[in-house]
Amino acid sequence: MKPEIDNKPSNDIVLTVRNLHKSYGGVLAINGLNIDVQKQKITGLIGPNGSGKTTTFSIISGMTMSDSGEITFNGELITQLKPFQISNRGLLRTFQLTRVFPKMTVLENLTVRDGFRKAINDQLMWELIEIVGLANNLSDMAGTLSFGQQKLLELVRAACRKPVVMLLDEPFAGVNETMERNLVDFIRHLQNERHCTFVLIDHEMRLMMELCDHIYVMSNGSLIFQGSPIEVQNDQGTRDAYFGKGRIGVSVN
Amino acid sequence: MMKESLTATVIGEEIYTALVKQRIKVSLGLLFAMAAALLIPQIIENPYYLALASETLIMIGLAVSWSIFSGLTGYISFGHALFFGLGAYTTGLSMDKWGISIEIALLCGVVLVGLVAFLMGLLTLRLKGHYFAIATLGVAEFARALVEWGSSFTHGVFGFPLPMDVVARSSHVKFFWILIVTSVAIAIGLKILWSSFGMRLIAIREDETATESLGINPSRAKIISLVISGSLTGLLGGLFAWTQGFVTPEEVFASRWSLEPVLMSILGGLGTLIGPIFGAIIFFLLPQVMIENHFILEKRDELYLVLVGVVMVLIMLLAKNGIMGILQKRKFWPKGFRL
Repeated sequence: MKPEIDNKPSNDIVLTVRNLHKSYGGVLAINGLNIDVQKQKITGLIGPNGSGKTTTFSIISGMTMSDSGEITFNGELITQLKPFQISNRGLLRTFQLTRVFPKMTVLENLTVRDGFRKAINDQLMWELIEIVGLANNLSDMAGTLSFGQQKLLELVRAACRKPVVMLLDEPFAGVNETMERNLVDFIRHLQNERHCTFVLIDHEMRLMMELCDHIYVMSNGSLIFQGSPIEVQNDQGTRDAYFGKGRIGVSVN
Repeated sequence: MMKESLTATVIGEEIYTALVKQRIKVSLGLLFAMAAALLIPQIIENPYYLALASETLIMIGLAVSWSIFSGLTGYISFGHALFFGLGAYTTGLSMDKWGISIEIALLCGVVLVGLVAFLMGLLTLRLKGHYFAIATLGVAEFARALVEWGSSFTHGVFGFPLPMDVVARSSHVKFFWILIVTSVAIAIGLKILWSSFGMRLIAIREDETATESLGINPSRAKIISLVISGSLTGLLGGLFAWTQGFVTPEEVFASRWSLEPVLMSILGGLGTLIGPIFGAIIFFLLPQVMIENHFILEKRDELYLVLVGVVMVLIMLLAKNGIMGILQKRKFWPKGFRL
């Protein structure tokens, strides 16, 4: 299915990106991007390095200003809002390289926004800590956790804010298989039990195909394809973007 | 996936209870220290030593006030001389021009310095790292030049004396005022450090982008912290003017009021609130006592500065987290407890 702009409002769409443009100097990082994110679904954003995926996340989360285009979240235009305002509306993100607070304890990382006294009554927080197995690390400095644990901590920290949409930037990068499975289970838990919507960027195609309901493929700042994981796997343009034209017998699966 | 009982809650509650117990211990310890300090004027009869004790308390208050902003947020200010000098000038000038009492004059200083800190925050807190530090240095120098230039109102480079009746008040009264203000600065500092607001400031120091992504407005937190830090510094500047009896731009806008809190905080432990107290005592009081007792050269400016330089280099090389870092390594308090 080739990308098309659908301007019809839908109750199922929680986040829309319309005609987004961003350039750095003379380099066009994003060129007229259009994305629709469905409620309580997992939407994937894939593409080779430098295709503009992380820039898209940065613009959606308000950390980078776009040159033009509109982003609507829950029916509200958020293009001009500051990152903390966007976050407070329920759109949270995690980062490619984990950004836990290394010299704060795990518990401090989780209670930094509302303070411990308020957070102690937050049943959700304790539940999530339990699920990801960080209960015995609560008084450890976050910087001393393994990379995978830091990823989980970052995810729990965002999830405690009861987000409507979470943008996860390469959640599976650099983590071992056991931790990978923990992350997948946790994402599924948040989707099914907490009705959370996800947008995922990752190069781990096996997991992207397993998790995502719908995938957008980017290359050189533009959307080149969108569809179900099966459709993406069978799309020649996507294969060409990843592996270059002229290769035969390669599969993204 | 879920376990039946939430052990995390139990562990969390245990951690919290332990933290509260530690906080109570530290608060009681500080109250005891303050009560002991109240006896200093009764013990010390020599006015020179009482003045030295007063100035040490000012340095402690200054280091703690500086840490409330720079220590917690990681935005290193080289411009606290602005707040100190402005506090001293506002206190002095409001008594000089309007004949108001020292108490009201000090309050005027706090309000004006708070306002200036707010404006300075708006102006400079868009900058980060070295750029912020240089900008604060520039603003402080600008204020000093402005005071020297506005001679018709500020009395220019020559300064002016405070009213005689205020200056003539007993040094015991001045000491008590300074002790109270310094204690209040420490109490406010710890209250912030142990609050969610303090956690937010530390989070800004750790990673401002991540902090903002959690829905925290970093600009607001930084400005509030700067206003509190600046106001307390201004109050200490007013008290310093009172102890000196005379205000000149060279004295109260001197770069030492910007640089010494930085050095004292590094020595004690950057990012802590109690560390700068140790830092101030070691950096300021210890050399004075040594000079008095002829342990080092009598003239402060010579060997003293060389020693300070050597000590600071050694700290940077051997104990980057200062005295508090060394104590923390020796587990004087539980992991995750902030002082």
